[in-house]
Amino acid sequence: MSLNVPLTVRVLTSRAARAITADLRDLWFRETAVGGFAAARLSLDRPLATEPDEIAYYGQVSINAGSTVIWEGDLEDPGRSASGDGQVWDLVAMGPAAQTRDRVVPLIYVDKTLSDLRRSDNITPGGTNSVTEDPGIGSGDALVLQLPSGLPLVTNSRVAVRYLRCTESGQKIARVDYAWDAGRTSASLKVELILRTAGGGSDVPRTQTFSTAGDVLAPKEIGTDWTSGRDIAEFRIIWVGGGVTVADDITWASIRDITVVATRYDKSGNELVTAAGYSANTVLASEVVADLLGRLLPGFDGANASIATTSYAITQLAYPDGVDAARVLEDLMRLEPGYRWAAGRRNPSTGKYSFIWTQWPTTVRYEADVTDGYGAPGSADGLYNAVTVRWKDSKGLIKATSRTSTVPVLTAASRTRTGFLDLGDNIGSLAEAQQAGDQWLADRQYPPNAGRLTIARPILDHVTGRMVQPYEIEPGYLIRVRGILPRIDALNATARDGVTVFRIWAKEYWASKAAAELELDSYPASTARALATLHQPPLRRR
Amino acid sequence: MTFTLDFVDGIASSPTVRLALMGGSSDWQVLVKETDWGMPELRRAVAGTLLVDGQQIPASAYGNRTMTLALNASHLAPDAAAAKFQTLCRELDRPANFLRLCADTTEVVFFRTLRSTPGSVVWDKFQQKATVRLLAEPFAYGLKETQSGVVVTNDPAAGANGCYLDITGIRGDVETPAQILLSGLNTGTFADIIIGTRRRGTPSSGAYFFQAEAMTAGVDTALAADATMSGAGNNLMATTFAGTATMTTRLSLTTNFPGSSGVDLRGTYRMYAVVKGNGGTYQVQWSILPVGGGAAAVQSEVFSVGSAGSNRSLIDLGKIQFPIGADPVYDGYSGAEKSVTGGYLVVAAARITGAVSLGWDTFILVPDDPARGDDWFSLSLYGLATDKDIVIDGPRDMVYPQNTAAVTLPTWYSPQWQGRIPRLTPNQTNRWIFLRPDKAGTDATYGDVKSRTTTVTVSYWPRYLFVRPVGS
Repeated sequence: MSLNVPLTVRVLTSRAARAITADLRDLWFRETAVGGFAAARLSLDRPLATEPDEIAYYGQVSINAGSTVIWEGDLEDPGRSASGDGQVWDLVAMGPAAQTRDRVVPLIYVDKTLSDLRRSDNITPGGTNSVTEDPGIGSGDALVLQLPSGLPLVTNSRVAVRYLRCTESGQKIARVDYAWDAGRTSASLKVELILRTAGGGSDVPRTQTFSTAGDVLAPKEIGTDWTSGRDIAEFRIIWVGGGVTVADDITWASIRDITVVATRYDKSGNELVTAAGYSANTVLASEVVADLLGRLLPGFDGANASIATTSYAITQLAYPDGVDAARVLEDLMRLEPGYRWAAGRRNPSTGKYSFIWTQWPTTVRYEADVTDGYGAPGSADGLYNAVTVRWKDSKGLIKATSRTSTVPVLTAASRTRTGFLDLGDNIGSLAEAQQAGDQWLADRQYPPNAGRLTIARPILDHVTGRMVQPYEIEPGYLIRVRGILPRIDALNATARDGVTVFRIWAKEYWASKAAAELELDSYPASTARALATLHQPPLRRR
Repeated sequence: MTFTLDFVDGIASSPTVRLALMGGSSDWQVLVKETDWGMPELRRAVAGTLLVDGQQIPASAYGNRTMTLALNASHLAPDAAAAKFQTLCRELDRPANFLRLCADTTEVVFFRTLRSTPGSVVWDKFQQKATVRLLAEPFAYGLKETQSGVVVTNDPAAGANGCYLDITGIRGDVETPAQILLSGLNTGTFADIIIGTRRRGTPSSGAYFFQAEAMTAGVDTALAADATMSGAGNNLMATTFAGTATMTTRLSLTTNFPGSSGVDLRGTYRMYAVVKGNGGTYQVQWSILPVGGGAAAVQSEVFSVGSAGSNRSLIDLGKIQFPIGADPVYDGYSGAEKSVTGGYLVVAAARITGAVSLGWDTFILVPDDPARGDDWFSLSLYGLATDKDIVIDGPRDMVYPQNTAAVTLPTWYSPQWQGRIPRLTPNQTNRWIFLRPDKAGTDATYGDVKSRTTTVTVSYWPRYLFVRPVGS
């Protein structure tokens, strides 16, 4: 049966709600696996001399097929033209994914950075603070606070440094942990952690006398160990004895493995201000996603968002210079390649866009063939068997880590190709650099299965159990395409049967063609490996 | 019967004639043999490759038509002809106009024309002729037809017009958008209107309503009676959650859902359930098993059901297609449509809050298959005053209120609507599934009442490709 394309288009502004289906010159929209509804383009004839009631900045655009919302977004600044073709408004609407770039704020999740600790409360200027090799254990970096030889001391002489990133970002401190060592044992010298609020108020959750035995990690948490609202962490050594002059060079304390965890929001926008939300010196990607929803993305329906729990413990994630939600989500997917995010249809009750953080699927959803058209350009990126990863360590020093992999094609050609991966300044630990480097190499180990597939007829959807129209196909799922010999990759273990499984990366639909074009690729090996890990049964101790 | 052609001021039984083109000795004369009425071009999207023979036509739509009218004024004196020519130009210059045609037939049709110009003019001592290329909308229109109002109840078990109405005797050559007047609303409530249309095959052979009491009771579920629910006697299934409050099977079938096999089962629907929540909150999930049992062929997402107060209310259970899975539709090249079998419906539920029971009244399948022409439409009546009617205007693609004297109100009140305004197919029974759920959870005062009625009056302008036969 061949009917009109059964889509209807409506726009809603503060002045009017209009159906404009019959008025359109053309209609195009795009949806992507990461991000969801991306963009739409509509053009219609209206006088240029006035602004029609149904056209306004951030007016809502909805493209429906019956009861199903196929695409939704908000109008951007409309283009206008007057020519031999008439007076035409060219409307571009952006999907909700664009809102992830609306705000740039400094954000701290978990921070081990030592380079930004600032000398404070400097009543003993002769005391010293430095970030250097830990004199206690002879390796690794530590914050070293010292009262040097010859320094006269009075009661409460002290050396203090403060962690100020949370107060600068407007966040509270949720958890602080460190281990320490000292050069001498003395009941008159103390190593202390003080939690302060800018402008007044403090708690002392950890205070211990100097001991050459030092102490191990002993985390302190909001609610349990200090009043909610503290946003400055101060590390100090303090002399509580009487007047004396330091006679040697062993009056020091080294504070190492410092971890500061800032407070987060839940997905509904409630700040988590009890210890229950902070049980480790790390953060999960799923916890960060919830925080982004509650903190930065008011246009998304956080309360009803679906967030799959992740497992990789992130040890360093801090953006003191500012970041938007889009960039944070990008970094999270780099660390957790088995997951993606997407924003979609509005919740009619709240008017907010739906949001999911979900695993890439492992089962085929759609069945299709190449009858309506298929094209596959050659691979542009190429294969690599080595990578150099640039990152910054906790002292703020730039580091380079090399990783290698085995690529059969390059090995056979006796070639080494080395790529470069820059993690910037925000993901800074050796573990994360190795993880990111290995994922990057895994993605470039085999030539990818990729291409563009045209769908102009209904295809089978295994999830809903029905035949779906081209405009109903959802990116982010797997499609099995008959008629293409596959390359061996994560989704295609054999190449014998002329059937290839792809990931649908994006979908574009043109009303003028009544057809959808699917951008196809395959899972990078990093994603496949991550998915395989997620679906393995847990190891049991014997 | 005569052959008449004139520009008029509207589609009406006695419109004002602006310019007669076939009117008599003092008017233009259409040279019928040199006139081409022009048929609308059918625009098609074409998809295909050299991989298979033939090409797919995924969509098509009629374009405008161009009529070529050969007009003669040679029988008039030059000054009179000049005056007629001026009148012609003024009519052609209008942004939109109406051309009435009676082609020696009983019935007349009207073309909605667009701004045009005389294509060529011959003007000399002996003859004054003009050839007009007149652009017009694809279809010719008949006079407005209005059907008798139908009182639709909210009770699917009612003898007649229980949550549906049939519209028959539609005239015309092609489908036409409906103009629907909803009256007797008496709202001021939180009502929605949901319409799903089936206008192919034999709609009465389809299955749209399924009483829950016909299903097999599952865990903590048993027959019960409630006069507010549809049907009589034991007219609902009540799930108490006394033993198990978590998600488990509450209702099931070992007979075909929604009904006997047949071609009219085919299509995509949006499934709803009429329930009575008694103030609790719940989760509901359904599955369709293959006929004969086995693993679920399809399973829905989990739907959260908000607090429904002590009133019956409608919950949305998502889309479902019959047949489940791959559908060849036809038997090879024969054109014979293959019969469709449903499946065994299984409904699971969990209670999240409250210590109350969930009553199940009816499952309703509302056609929602735009690719097959089954239109789905939804409208919110929120905030509509009690003395107002609603017009769902398909020709204008607009919904607006009017007072009961048929005066259109200022559009400060903008009803929210979704989907597509229903269309009517000629020579075909058009069945509309018509639901009017009141949001009991929002305001318990206005509970969903099965006896509530809506008067639905359907009007339309029949559409033709050229001329129309008598009474059609």
